[in-house]
Amino acid sequence: MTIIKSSNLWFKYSGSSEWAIREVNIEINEGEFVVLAGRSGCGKSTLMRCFNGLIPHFYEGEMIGKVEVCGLDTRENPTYILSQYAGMVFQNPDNQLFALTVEADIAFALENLSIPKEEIRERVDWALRVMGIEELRDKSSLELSGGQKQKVAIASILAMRPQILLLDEPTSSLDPFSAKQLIDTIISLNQKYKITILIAEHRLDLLLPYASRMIVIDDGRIVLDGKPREVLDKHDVMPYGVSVPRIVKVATQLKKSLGYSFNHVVPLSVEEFVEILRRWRN
Amino acid sequence: MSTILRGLQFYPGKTVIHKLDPRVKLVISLLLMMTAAIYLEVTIITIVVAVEALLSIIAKVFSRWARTVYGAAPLIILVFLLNVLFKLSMPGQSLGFQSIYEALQLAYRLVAFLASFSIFFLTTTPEELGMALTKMKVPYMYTFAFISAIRFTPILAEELQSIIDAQKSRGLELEKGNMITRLRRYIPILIPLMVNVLRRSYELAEAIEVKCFGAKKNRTYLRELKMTKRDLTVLSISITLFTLAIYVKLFVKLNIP
Repeated sequence: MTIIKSSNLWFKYSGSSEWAIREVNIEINEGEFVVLAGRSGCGKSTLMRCFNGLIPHFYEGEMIGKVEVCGLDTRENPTYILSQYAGMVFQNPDNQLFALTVEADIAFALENLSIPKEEIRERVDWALRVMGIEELRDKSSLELSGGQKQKVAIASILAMRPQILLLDEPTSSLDPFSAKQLIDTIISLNQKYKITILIAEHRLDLLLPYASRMIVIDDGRIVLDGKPREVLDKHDVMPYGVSVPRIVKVATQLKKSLGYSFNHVVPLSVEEFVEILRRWRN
Repeated sequence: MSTILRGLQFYPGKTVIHKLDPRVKLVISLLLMMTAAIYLEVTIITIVVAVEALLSIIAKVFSRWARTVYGAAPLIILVFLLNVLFKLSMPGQSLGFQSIYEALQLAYRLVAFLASFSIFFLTTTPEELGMALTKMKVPYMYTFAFISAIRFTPILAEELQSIIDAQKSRGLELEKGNMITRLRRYIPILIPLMVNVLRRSYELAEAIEVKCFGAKKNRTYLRELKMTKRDLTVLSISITLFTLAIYVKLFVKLNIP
């Protein structure tokens, strides 16, 4: 079932002469795990803002076309309604936590929505459990590591029980280990809780093995869209500022020098590559 | 100055005083201050300070509390000197025992004031303060502003330090020169700080927006203050004692220093 649909979407920020989004037609289905790739400033963040009503309600500018999220027209529904369907997590966790305890931060949106106290308590417990951060409940965000902060930021959005999670470079300020941990948690949200994920990221090697779809954006346009394996097999993504996972490069190089195509399968993880090599040897 | 500020910072604990409703604590501090305000007698103010000391011992923050009072010494001395000067400037006054004694009394009263504030802030978390504001019907927007100010102060302090480091590594010298050149040297620090603050505020606004700030008129609260029996008992005892203090002031002739 289609959960996000944009037709002929164009957007220009007020005060800018360039279109930030150009002619985007996209349909995203329930349960998908979509990776948005492209160089910084290509329009990934702008596109995500279109999906939860920050555009056109919070950012001023010129919007052409139509976006529907869970059947709701984003023009006609304010961000606080859309946020309950498509929750957004930003880059810098520090600017997404404004309360004095983790619990208060997770309850914040629910309190604003005037949800009864008992239900808030249940949902906060659930969000803490899902993100695996129950022990942080009474901590102040000043005591947390970057990875923990970002988990709290995700939990504070998850508490609204959105069907879609939009993540805008959530690991950009994290060290490799915390980034891997965070991405594993995000993957579990998709696999275990069936939350549709849209994530803009540069760390493709961690994401692609699990992603169901890869969309490459350049200069506000969707230039490539498909299963990660197919996109990487058929196209060179380097010109769009996307770094190809190292294992893909190794496989491509091997193919060239050995002259063997490995049945046109692009490995996305080391395990897959080992499997392909084993099959090839036999 | 920093010692005084530290005396106003919350120190976590689990004592009876910490558990008291912040509104009750606020009332007690105000009553203690008012007692110190209506009396000038050294004996009475000593009693007030002694009560405050006792409270700080119960709350296990005595050493911090004492440090606040000690840290306020320069301020207290200043008030004392100003009072002496003020007295001298009045016509027909000379520097005698009486005027110095009166100035001392006023300075001593300030000790009681500060000490009372200090206990309140040492034993009340910023969240409790926020909750108290909410209960006192302060609009949530202001409570939110208050809480986020507390939340972001350490972050901004960190940012300030990194800007200072960055500018120093580019050759900016902050410690040289007279007052005015030194102040001028702070411009390359303040401008980036302000730009950062503005940028951050935009990001914050966005994050608050997606978290539905202001969506509904009647916000719910996960945690709310609730007066317990103990709070009410403590409150009534304090009010009774204060009434007694007023009564004594009005109807009993005190013959004590």
